[in-house]
Amino acid sequence: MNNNETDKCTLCGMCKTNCPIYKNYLTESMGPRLKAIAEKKNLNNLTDQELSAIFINCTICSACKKECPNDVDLNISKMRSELIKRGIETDAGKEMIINIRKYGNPFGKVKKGQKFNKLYCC
Amino acid sequence: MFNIKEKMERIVGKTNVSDSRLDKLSYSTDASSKSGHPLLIIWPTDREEIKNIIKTALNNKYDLVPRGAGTGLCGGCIPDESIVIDLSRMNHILKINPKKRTVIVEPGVTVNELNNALKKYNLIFPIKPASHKIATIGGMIATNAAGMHAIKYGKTKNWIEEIEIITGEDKTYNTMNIKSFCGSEGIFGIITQATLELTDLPKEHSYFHFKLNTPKELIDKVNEYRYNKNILSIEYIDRITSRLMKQDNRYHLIIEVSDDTGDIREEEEITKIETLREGIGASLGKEKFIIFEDPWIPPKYQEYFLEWLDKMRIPSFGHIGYGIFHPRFRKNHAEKIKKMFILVKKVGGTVSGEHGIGLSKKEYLSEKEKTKIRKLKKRYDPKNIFNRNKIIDMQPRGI
Repeated sequence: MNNNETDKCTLCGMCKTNCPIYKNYLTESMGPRLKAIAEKKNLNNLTDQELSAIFINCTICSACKKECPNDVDLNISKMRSELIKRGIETDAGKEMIINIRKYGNPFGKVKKGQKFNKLYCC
Repeated sequence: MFNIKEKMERIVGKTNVSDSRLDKLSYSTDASSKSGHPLLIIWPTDREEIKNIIKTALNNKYDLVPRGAGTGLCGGCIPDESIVIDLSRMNHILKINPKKRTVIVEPGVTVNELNNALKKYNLIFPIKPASHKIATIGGMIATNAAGMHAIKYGKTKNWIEEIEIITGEDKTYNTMNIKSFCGSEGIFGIITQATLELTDLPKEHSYFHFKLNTPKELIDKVNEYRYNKNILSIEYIDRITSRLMKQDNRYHLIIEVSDDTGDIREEEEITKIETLREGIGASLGKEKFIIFEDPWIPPKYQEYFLEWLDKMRIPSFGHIGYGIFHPRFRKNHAEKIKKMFILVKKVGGTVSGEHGIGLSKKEYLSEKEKTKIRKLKKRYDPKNIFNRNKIIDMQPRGI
């Protein structure tokens, strides 16, 4: 979120309305409001593990933006790219990147007609 | 010996207690600009767990802060080295009685969830605060929420038959004493269940939309409609807000009626007017008017109040039919806010029409109001473990 977006956000919590992750866990820390709090505060205070927990627990569906009365865009994709640049990534993500580099697909070595050994959820 | 976290884990299970940094950060704030420090966060799932949590907190001298959706605008659920009780997971609709037109709910049920479940019975719980999509019934009872249909339906207290509350004396009350508990902002105990009254789902609705030049014209028009029986809401947008919304330099009056007598009846036109109303927050937010207050002004002084806001360049909108105004301020407008509240008191208004007192409006409470609250606090929460320093200042644990 850039500074302008940060200033617009009042932490009203309306972003939780249709957030699929929040709806499932009913815990503030899994919802979009924590992402906004984290972006408003100094992110340098948070550990890599904490940053990963905040920004990876998101489907990037933008339901938060749709419900925001102040039209704030949390821009989670951008935050994730920044994290990946710093080497903060899920284990599944890391594995898939290795597979793509090595075999040209995210599922690893797969023969024609063969079922995938493992499905990933990033 | 177990520490407090372990003791609470034994009551609700390990996964329903947290003291992680991220959870503490999440529960340190609400929709007000206030923040504090939670010690633990607990997610209870039934009344028995709440009973045991309260008992443990009493025995070990810890403060408890009950919390719903965390959409309060006055800091009503800000912790102060306290244990936060998030009631979102107590979200069951227990019994709908279409004949008696009542429903029994747990405190974490949201108004939207409830009204969706009531649709098939053609019934509705009619209190509709701006945050109705996530606002919980427990939170609405605690703040005595009103909302945009207040002119027809009044406030939450008008629609409660019975409250079940566990107080700071470790007693469970099933009470019709709605007056004491509705609007008590969690300072007496935790609401574990409520029986709500329901009404018929309005079959039709339509709108009037007037554009007016002066506060006098606006108030004259409000008075023309204020006492009509079919009125659902009377909302205004002042001319500063109208300009910021790229409309015009006029006051807008939007009147919703519960039949088809309004000028705006077609679905497309209704969507347009509702979009205009819902766009207020975004337009003001873009201009950094992010703090909003909720004074109630008596009808006699509403025109004067509007003129004063215009003179002070304070954008506003609100439920003018019910007398609740929503002036919006920038972060550095503390002086303007203070001046406004002095004026509100002077004209016989109240500083909070619907958001509550919480932390931010304590200084405007009269001695008479404070004494009344202290008396009730002494009765229901004598050890002062609930939501300390909200509404009135209290010494830690014990009055």
